[in-house]
Amino acid sequence: MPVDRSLIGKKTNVHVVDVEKGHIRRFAEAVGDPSPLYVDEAFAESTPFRGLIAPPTFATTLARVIPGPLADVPGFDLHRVLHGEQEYVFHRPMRPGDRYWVQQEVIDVYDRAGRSGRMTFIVIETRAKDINDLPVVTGRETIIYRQD
Amino acid sequence: MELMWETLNENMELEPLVKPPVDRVQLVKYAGASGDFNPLHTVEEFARQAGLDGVIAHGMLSMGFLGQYLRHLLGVKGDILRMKVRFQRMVKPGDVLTCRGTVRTLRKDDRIAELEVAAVNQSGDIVTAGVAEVRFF
Repeated sequence: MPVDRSLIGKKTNVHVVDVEKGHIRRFAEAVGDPSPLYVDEAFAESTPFRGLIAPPTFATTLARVIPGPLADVPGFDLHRVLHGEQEYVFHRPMRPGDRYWVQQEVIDVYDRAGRSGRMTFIVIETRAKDINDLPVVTGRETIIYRQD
Repeated sequence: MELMWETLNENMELEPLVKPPVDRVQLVKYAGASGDFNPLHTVEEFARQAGLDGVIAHGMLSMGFLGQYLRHLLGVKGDILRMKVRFQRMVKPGDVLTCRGTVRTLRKDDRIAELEVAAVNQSGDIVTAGVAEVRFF
């Protein structure tokens, strides 16, 4: 399966992701984000959030714990990959202790001619739902694959 | 400084947030914490084989800075509903990014502000830019 429109509709299995307090702390530290909402339970309890939440881009971890939909594409070359765009729609805050069901799907593939040759844009949607099947976060990433 | 819904105006420029220089240890920490182990961000030799002159930061790290900026602006007074960015330029170790924001539209009925946000490097070049929607409680 080459990197072309035949990838559209390719899905991963649904994976279970448990959101952990220590993981959120390490993520916030790596970004250098000092908000106490991510780490200070007593403080977070006293706010309208009523408890710890995760930083918004912690959503990227939901897409990384599973083999993505491009993992088994023959000849797929990581050297040729760039991250073009990223969108997140947050239906509710992500919280430590939560369990999510996560699935990724290739929703679009299209070509563009760039300065350095043909580039293929791959749009992958990542959907995280909670145990009641309610959406938590929806991510849409555009991967740029340099074909030439 | 935290924003107050009552004092926001359309086209208002928001106070910027200057991040410390990106360094290699941060890239290793971000790789571990995010789970993005693409060696382009941590392995010098791999980056050179990919035609770069050294490792580059994860695009998502710069988006993470913008997420930090939004939370910094909101404090505990509101929530982030949506973020969308385009990665326009590479970020290298040593780069100093400044997060900037402008209020674009205010939806008074539901206390939602649409912001334009960007991470700008020390040369004034936009590296990552996009829009965010935030809702005040």
